[in-house]
Amino acid sequence: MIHANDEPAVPMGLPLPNGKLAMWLFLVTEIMFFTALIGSYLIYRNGQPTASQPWPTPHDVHLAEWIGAVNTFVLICSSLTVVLALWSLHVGNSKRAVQYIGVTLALGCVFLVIKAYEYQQKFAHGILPGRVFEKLDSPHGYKYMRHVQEQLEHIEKHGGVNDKAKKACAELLADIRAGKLQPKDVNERVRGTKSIKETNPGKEFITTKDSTYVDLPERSRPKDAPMVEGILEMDTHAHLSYSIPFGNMWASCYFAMTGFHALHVFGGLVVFAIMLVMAWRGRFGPQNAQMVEVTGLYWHFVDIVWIFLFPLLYLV
Amino acid sequence: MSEQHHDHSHGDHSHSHGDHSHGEHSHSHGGDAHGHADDAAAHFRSYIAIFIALCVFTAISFVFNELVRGGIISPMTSATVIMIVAIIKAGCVAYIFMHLKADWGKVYCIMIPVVIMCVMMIIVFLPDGVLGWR
Repeated sequence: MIHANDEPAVPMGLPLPNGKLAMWLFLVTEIMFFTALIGSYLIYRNGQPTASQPWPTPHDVHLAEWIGAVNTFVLICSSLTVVLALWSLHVGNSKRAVQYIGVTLALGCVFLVIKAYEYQQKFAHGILPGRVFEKLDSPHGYKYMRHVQEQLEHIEKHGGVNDKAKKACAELLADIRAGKLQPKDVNERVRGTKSIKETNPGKEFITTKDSTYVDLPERSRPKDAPMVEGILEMDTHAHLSYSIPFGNMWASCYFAMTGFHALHVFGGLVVFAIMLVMAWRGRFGPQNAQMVEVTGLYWHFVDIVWIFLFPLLYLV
Repeated sequence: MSEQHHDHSHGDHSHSHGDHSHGEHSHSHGGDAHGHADDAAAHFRSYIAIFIALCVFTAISFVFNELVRGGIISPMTSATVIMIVAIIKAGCVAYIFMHLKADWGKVYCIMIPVVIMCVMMIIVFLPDGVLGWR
């Protein structure tokens, strides 16, 4: 007869501390979550758009690559500081660990401030889900024209652009009021054609058949037509809307992906703040190494997500 | 070599101590303390090395993007390089910063199914993305 005590010892569960195992399990669900978001983005981006109706470039949607690169650098630095905080606890230097956690918290805040600035730019230029003008055929086109008219009237009243752009704004407003223009013409005079090739790198290789859906000025005008200097080429800060193919879908993807990522960053910052409060109350030391390690795992994962979001949104 | 040894002891620590934190293991023997200090220094160096590598890789991505703007390379070449660089960066962070170098043997059973699911999901999406049905 075999007694329970005679049974060979069977290792139970994974050979990991409970907290660390729980974090890894949580992280694999997070991997699925962000893969779904990124996968959906890749479909939208590569599925529907065509050569004549391309996916927006970063410049089309007021996205600056260098800002994304700075944020990448900030998160990489914070990943280093959090791993050094854990390292400091392992070598018995709790004070240094608290300093590293403080720096991590500060870097996370810098990331969110930069992200907030970016969001503010999107709101200022109306690049929001459902707010971007994609089609310029009626009735969307006339809605777009009315919108630009309101923006021009605002500029006429309050200024905010340089003299050259202000003069062009006044002329465009007069032409719209006189009923001389079609929505496509308004779009062309806002956006311009001179820098369109620069802001759409590589697009000169693609077919130039006319688009019936959207109106990149370059495509919808005859080959021998003179170049038009757009108001936005005179003053890039002018708050004037223009047609962005797939702009609404882009905005939805951008806010979903970066918004969820920013929420994750915020969650990590809360835990770092709790650690600092613990340190302030004298209750932080080597006994908290696992807490730092588990939070670090989470923070590194947040960094990895950004490592993919940065090229997908800003570069590729 | 010493770094590898430390990774083992670091990884095995949870075996012997269960839920106890890493900070609790103090080395009273002189030789151990010396070895521990060496390992700690090696770890520090590896963290700094990975940090520098991540910065360099970020710069590479940025430069390749600018090369497209200058018309020097095609967008497809740049996109391929940039995405490969992103995968390498993520690997660096996971392997060293997240200690997968030491812990992979313990978490692979929960990681591999997820990775398979993720790869499958992307593959299922590919026809729509690549062919576009147009």
